[in-house]
Amino acid sequence: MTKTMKGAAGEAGLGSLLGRLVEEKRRLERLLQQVDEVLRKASPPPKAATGANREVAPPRPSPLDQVKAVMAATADLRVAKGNLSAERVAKLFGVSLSQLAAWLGRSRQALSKTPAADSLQNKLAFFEHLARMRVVVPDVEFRKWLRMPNELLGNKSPLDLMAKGEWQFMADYVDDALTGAPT
Amino acid sequence: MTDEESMRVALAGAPVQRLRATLVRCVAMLPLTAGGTPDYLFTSGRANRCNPAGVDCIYFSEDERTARAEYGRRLGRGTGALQPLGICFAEVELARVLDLEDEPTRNALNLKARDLTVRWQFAQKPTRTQLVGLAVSQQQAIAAIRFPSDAARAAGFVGFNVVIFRDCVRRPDFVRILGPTKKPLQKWP
Repeated sequence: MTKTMKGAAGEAGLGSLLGRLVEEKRRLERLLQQVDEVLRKASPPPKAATGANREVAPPRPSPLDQVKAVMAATADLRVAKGNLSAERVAKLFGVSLSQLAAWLGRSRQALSKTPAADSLQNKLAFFEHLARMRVVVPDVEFRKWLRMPNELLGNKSPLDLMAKGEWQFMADYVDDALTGAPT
Repeated sequence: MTDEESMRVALAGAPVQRLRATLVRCVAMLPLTAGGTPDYLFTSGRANRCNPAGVDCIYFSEDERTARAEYGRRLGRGTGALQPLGICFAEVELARVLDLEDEPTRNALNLKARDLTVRWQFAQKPTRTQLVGLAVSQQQAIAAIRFPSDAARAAGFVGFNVVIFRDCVRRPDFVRILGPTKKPLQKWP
């Protein structure tokens, strides 16, 4: 009887510790997010339109990264080994490979030769983020949405902002749309 | 005194009101349900109109029309309007809520009416309403902020949103997601 009680008390204690551990983990994640936000505001966003062929950090982690059904909505942008393909992105977005190459700061030839290169993955990940909008709209509507000026975007279209290098802004925008955040 | 500090001081003298209501939220169906058990009280910690990044809070609307206007605004006209949509309802009872529609409250917080419609998405530093949210998240007495919906305004009608700060909801206050039985699907605290 005593052993059972001790066991139950131990389990309760462990449960409480685990709960605190999870809470602390969440707090640290929030703190990291705040640091990210401050750093993002302190430094300019990636400017693909400048054509600079430089390294770009991947999009900020999103809660939707863990949702299989959301990731499945953009699985067709990936090649067999799992890398995102510039050719597939260009096709879905309805833009030419030359146009996408300019945004990515690469030549059309380089993009044609290795459309799923490892070096492109961070940049293409922002486009994959946008494509998650297909969770709520079919492809045709997605392409319309890309080109439709939106008053929330200063009467620019999502594609306009992508062309200006506002990649993280647009990735956040899609995340907020899918998680039901208000405006 | 920094903007944050002065907002904290102003908050201490701001009038508050009780809120007892059934609030509404619209979410895209797939992200809501794909993980198995839906997390109706999901907090992303992302910046929004009344919170800077890193603050755990959730936004609801006071009625379904406003919730739909908020949901549809990012999608643009027509797009996605006919796609599956999740709507959840929360019964809330909160003893102390800031009402930014109330002029004396705005005056106490040194807010102007235009602060409520500012394009926070493009702001280079925290907006005035985000500073209010930050100050609320750093205390325990006030649990939520009620403010006019900019999506409703843009759509040509008047609607209101309520943002509730998770760590500020203390008993006997509560937020309960309504389900088919008396037992809520999810609740705070």
